[in-house]
Amino acid sequence: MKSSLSQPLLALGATLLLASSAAAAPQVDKTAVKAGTVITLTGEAIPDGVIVIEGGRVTAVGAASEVQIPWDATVIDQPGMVAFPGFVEAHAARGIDRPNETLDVAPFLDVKDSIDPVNFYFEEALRQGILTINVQQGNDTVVAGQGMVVKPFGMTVEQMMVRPRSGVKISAAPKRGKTRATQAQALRGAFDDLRRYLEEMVQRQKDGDDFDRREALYQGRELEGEAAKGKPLACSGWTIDGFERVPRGEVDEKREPLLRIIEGKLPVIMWCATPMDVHAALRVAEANGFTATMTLALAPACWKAAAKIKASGCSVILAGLEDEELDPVTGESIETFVPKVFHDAGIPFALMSTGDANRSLWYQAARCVANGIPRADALAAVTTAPAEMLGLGDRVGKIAKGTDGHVVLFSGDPLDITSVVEHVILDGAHVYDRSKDVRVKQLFDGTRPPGTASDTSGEEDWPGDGDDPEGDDETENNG
Amino acid sequence: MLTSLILSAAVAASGSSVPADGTSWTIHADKVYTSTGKVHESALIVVEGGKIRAITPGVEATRDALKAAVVTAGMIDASARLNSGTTSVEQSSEVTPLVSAEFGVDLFSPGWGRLARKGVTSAFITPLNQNCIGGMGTVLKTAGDRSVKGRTVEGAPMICGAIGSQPSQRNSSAFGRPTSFFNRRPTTRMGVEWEWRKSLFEAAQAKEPDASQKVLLDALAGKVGVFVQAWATQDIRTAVFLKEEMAREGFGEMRLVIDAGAEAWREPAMLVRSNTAVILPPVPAQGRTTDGALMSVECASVLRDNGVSFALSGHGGSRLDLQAGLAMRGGLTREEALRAVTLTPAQLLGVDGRVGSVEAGKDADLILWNGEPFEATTRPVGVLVSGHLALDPR
Amino acid sequence: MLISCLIAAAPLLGATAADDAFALRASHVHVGDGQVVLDAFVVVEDGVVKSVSNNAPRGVRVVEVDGHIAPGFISLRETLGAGSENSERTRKSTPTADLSFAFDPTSPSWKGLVAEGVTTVLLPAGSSQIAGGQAAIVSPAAGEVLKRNAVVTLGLSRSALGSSTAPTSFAGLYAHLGEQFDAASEGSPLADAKAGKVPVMMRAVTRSEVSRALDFAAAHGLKGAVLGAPEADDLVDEIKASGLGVVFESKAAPASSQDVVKSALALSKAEVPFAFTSDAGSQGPLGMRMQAAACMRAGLEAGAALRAMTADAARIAGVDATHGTIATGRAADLVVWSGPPTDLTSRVHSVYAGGHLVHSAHAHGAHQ
Repeated sequence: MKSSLSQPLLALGATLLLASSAAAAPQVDKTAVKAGTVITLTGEAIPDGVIVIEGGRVTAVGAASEVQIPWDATVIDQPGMVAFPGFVEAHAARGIDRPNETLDVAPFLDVKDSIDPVNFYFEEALRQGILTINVQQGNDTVVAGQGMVVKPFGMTVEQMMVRPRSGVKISAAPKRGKTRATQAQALRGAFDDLRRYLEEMVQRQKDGDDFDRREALYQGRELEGEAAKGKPLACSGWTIDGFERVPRGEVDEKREPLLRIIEGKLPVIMWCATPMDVHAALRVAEANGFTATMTLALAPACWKAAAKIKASGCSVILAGLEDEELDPVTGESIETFVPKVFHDAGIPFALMSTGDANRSLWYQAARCVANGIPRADALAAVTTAPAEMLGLGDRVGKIAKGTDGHVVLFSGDPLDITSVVEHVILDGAHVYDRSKDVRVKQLFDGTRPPGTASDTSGEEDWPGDGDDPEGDDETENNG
Repeated sequence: MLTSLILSAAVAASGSSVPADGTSWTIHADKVYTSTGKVHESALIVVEGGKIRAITPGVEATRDALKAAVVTAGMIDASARLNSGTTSVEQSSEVTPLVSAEFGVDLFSPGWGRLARKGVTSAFITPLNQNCIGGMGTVLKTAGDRSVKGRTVEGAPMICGAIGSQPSQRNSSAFGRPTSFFNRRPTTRMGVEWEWRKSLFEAAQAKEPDASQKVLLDALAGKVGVFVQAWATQDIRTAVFLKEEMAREGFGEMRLVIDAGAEAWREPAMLVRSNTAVILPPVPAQGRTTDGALMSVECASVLRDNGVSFALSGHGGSRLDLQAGLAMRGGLTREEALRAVTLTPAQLLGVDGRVGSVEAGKDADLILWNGEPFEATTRPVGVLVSGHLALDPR
Repeated sequence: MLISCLIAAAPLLGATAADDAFALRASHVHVGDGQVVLDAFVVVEDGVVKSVSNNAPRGVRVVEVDGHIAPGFISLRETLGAGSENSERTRKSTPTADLSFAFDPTSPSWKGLVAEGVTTVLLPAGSSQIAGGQAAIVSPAAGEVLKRNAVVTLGLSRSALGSSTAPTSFAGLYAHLGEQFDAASEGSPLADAKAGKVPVMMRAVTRSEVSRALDFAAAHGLKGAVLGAPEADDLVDEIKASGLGVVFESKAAPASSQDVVKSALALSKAEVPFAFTSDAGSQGPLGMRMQAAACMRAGLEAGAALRAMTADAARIAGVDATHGTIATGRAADLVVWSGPPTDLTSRVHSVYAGGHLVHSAHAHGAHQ
């Protein structure tokens, strides 16, 4: 899918990232990126490599001596830099208005109505080389709305979109104001409520009651084609006899996402704050047949449930690298490096970025290396593993023939502390150039953007108060 | 070859390398960064009774040596802020030069263990900055002896305080009846400066200075260093102007160290002219920090380029080795970053006779790294504090 | 016979008939220092114990007792009945204050405590003061002050700091206290404490507070004890070196008393004397016995537990010459129990204070 970057970029956040000439970005059909090292994450790094991107997809990658660059390609040649696939953020509740609704069960909501393309998070993501982001609702919920995979570039949500309705956020940890018992009850209740509703639908069909059909038409839903057909319930947890009688289009849109969840068509990201929550999560998933399409998002303490998670086959997203406990008897501190536990157990894991400009996904991966996880696995946790979890394993997270044309050019090895993102190529278009990034200038050398308040670029060094203040022994209006 | 033979003999003669009290070790490192600029390759370090006895480059590891890829000196956090909070500052008065930070220390707090395991072997502890002049700071080892006295590293005496908004935050004016001693000056930044100037003037002009004023007189004379927290440019200026004003009045030349000088990079010339050193706070997440100060990532490089003496700090929570790495990200070389967390803070605090570098005769405060220090991909895997193993690499 | 019964059943504070000698005979007499004398006679005359032996005394009325005799328990902090009168809140230091004036012998709350075997308590100043005054040793059982100005109370924990009153810091606290000690004139309580004539009791709770208190005591040559120190097991060597004892704050609820249990065991092993508070106001009259029982459950010997409530408590408070053990010349503060005194299933039959019968649970226990 080619993104349309043809519209002129207007003076909103995105301008800060592009060439000051502000010319309309041309429709780029062919791009070739040449770098001193190309890290593809499909094999060995390629010295003096070339990546050819045509129509927004990678068509060739290899050593410069072996790859033919089309004569009409725009060439970006950076022999001192390292090319790397864009990072993949497995899930983030940022870039949206507020992370959660007050409603307990609201799977009919969609983040596409809440994503703000000029939110600072997307600007920062681009700056850090995070090119694929699964935006979901936050953790303070029972069943939240549907998320969307986006790229951090575009003036509208449609331009940013990579995959809509990418999954639903559910929380096993109690929502604010709920206890563990009431949270579990609400979760069970959501699915019990669905089941009852579907059974009633079947009954109504049997009774010849066309209430559902009228409801659907009233709500403006189509009942043509596929929507007019009924299919048996494909849930591995429970079943409803006779459900094939019900045309799928008649299912109330408020509950329809839950139906897709239990049939394994809509993935679930389940948030767990404590090891106990993991057990609750697995129970709910097992009972309703969606364990195979569930990914667990875990707070650091959940490393203790690793064995149970391994048995379930779920992948995990780690919201935090370190867990510290104080031994209640000796008072000693017990520190656990959480990703290592999952790595050693053979559980696929992804990492999450924080709001810190200097500790983004590259930093999280580097800390894994520091704590004994092999480099390849650490890099996978921020690229190919989350890509797989999002069902985009053949499109992002690596550079190979057929993947999306995303390349990040680093000034050195991505995990070196002195390396920074210099350029970003997204779908073949050169969308970020660090030398023109005003915000980075401010962060790094303190230059204030011209024209902003308290711009002190013109002032000289303050000489000090060597002189007496001027005048005024005759001040009239001393308070 | 001969050296290693002699060395092994010496080691054997001094008994096993792991005697009962746990303060004697042999350590082998592929590289030793001494912090003095010298780098030893494939070196054996002999530690005895908590001190570095000898460093011998170009030898193989002995069988029972602790092994590391790189060894550096233990880091010194020049503003560790690991005090006991409000009980470390005597708030019944805004100017309390006689209070000692050692009374506000809880050695049983788990924070000490955390610092030690992350490679910080010495920490400068100050009273909480709620007072204009809070008291005398003290350098403590982060592990080892169980008493404050046993952990104290005697150095240059430093009187600590703050300029900016923090000292005035709890105070308020009294409407009607004063309800507590917090109904007092200063309630503004200028009030804080006024308290400073007033105390210094009164001390300088006192006919019979009392004990507190004697300390301030020593500060004016430069015998006691002045460690002032000043985040924003205006506060750093205020501190420097105070020093210059006192000098102009003939009261003496203060030795000024700016703590948490987040915006020190803005006016380095002023710092050079006034011979002021700077302790940098941790790099914030998105540029802005306390008192609205903007700390650029390159601030350490700017100070280095201008010849300002500076050290890094972690404020207890932030990893000091990460701060060194971020300083490298901002343009320092690895050697310069290492100095900024070892030898330079030792010199500023006057403890460089005992700590701050890997040299024979100094305390055995060492970090064993699993790679080049300060990279995000490496970490301390072994830490010795006065020869005690605070983090066991085995 | 009848007269004796009347005497035996005399209520609290009966001063009239008690100066005559009598002897108690019991199957077990717990001396208090660890010894237990079997089938013994305790002879009491003029309010003090005259002898403890297996030989029947001649010419003395003998009261046969069905149970064990032990010294009255000594609690090293009990403010019951004193209300908040032991804390002078307007000043941080009132070192010459005499806490015996806070003692109200007529308060009905003492009855319950005496009925559980506590005959003597120390009434110290509250912990919100730095130098709160001189604690008194009082006998709620006899209703009188036994010793005025017995112990100097010092508050060195966080409770002694103010949030909006001076001092707010430990540095300020120690500076203030140091000044008080330096300014103390000859013969004043703090000077006597420095000279070792009067013991001190320093309240310190966290390990760093205890550590500072020990340093302060060493610097000024103080004797006595630390009050609180629930984590004393971490500082056993330092406490032993200081020569100070520890007074643990009793907790009736087992969950809260675990720290103290560990510390008591550690101190017992190191032969550091320790005692308990009763704090009946918050822990109920059984608080001290429950705390001792918790320690015994974890392995403390019965003899050591009893010593903590009797002989060692007296030693820490500086009254071991007259209280804490059943021995010739000591005050006749005796409690008759239905079984071993440290056993929680034992009940108090009767309590004698200074030789007078001040409490009797029921008439069955004492028979002629």
